Amino acid sequence: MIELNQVTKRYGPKCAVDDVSFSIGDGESIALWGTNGAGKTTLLRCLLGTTPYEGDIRIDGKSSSREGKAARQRIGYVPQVMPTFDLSVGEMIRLIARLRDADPRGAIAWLERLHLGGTLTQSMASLSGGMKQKVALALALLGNAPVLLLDEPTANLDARSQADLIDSLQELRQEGRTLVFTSHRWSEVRALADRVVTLDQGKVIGIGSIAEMARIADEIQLRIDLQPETIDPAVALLREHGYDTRQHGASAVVTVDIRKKAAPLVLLAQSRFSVTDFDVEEQ
Amino acid sequence: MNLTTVTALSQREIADALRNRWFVAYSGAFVVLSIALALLVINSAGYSGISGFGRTSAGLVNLVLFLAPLMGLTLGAQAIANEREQGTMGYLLAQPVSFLEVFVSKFIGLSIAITAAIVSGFALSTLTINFLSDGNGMGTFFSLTGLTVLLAVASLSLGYLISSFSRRTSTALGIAIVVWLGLVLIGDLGLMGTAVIMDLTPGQLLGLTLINPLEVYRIASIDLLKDSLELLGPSGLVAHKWFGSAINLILTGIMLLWIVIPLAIAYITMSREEQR
Repeated sequence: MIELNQVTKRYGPKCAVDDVSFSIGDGESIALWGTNGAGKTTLLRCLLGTTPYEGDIRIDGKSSSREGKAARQRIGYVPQVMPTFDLSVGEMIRLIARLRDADPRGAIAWLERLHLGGTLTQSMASLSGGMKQKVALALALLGNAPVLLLDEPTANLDARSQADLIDSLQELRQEGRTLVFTSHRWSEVRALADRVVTLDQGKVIGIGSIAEMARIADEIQLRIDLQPETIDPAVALLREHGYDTRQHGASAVVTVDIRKKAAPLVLLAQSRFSVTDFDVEEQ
Repeated sequence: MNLTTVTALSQREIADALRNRWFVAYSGAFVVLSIALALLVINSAGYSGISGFGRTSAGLVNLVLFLAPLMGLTLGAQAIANEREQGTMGYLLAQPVSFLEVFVSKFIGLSIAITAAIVSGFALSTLTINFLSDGNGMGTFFSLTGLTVLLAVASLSLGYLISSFSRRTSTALGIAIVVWLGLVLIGDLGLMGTAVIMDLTPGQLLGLTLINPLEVYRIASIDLLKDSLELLGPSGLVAHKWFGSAINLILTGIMLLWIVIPLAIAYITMSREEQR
């Protein structure tokens, strides 16, 4: 169980995380979603207890600021880019295993599951970005940490490596690990999250289930330009057919499912309205 | 502090130091020059050189005054800045370890590496002298080894301090080299010039001398060798007169302060930095 209570992090006058409160249940998968600079990574650092903050964060009852070591013992961390230690993969596993007081064989078994069993003697520097992220995941799983914090885990990976990593994370989710990850990729969020915490300028602007968020994320706004004298009956027609429509000058702005964006245009054409132009905007 | 954590991180630091080309180059140069010096002293004394250890020790003091601070300063300067630049510090701190454990472990590991390099140089000189000469002055030679380790670790501590406020490794190395030049150049000669220009009293001169760890080492080592009091220079003579038989104890204490104070400042600076 992770509880965040009125967490605020300031860098001088700038508020990177602003009065954030929410809780995460055991085995839940939470996406911290937002644009660059929204405060996602800073919030992860607060969760890890590697930066001071106001408020309170508890990981299974352990305060991440006052009992940082105990809290981090329960957390496996996968950074956005795995830093290159001047060590081989095997040495890296042994080092982190000693720091976590864990059996290194756990990470070696995970490397085999991730098809990297043969890399133990390879230097970390010689691995590709995707391989490093998989090693980072195997290291994060040392000691069976019940919580995984992942900072943009697939940000720098090619499509194949992204898919592989997401598959592994889905397995971990099914095994009951708690996942907290930052992302600005909707496909990743949709594949992994139970709930989405949307951040903007350090503030939580929404917390919703993946179904709720999917509905919002899948809606677009279609701006349809019409002859000025036909705009009123056209808007009325769209509303009659259940479309959420508002009038903006000589345009009708329709909120529509991304997979059915042509439907309002077809409806207007069949009713002999003359569409002069249209544009699509994602919400 | 968790002993397993400290041991694991110290071992990693020793392995990193052994892969550091600067450190390997300086250590190699130190070892080779130490042996060369021992051979030179023995050969210059004719067959079975007289007081092989004493004469080699005197030569080694001059070598140490240049190389040991350079080894310590450059190794220390890279220690933190490089970890920050590579992002490895942030990753380590995301593990169940405290900042103090990482800080102390790195210093212990680097101290062991630099001590090993110094002891290797002195040990190989010892073997060379023992093989080719008599064993007179061996006790002094061992004391000088200890004193040299103190100087190297004090330089390491100073390098650590430089690293603690440097964002980039190249900047830290540049500052370390400038500091090394400053410490080497502001030696006895520089102090004598200052004393003449500023009309310093012997006490003020001694005070200025003791703020340079290289000078502290030089006075302590020459006093240890009991070679010639004139070699101590004016500030050394004043120190000898004031401190009497306690001179080496006091100078060793000052060297220890040169280890502790920069390390404490580095810790405060870095813990504030890491806590941002």
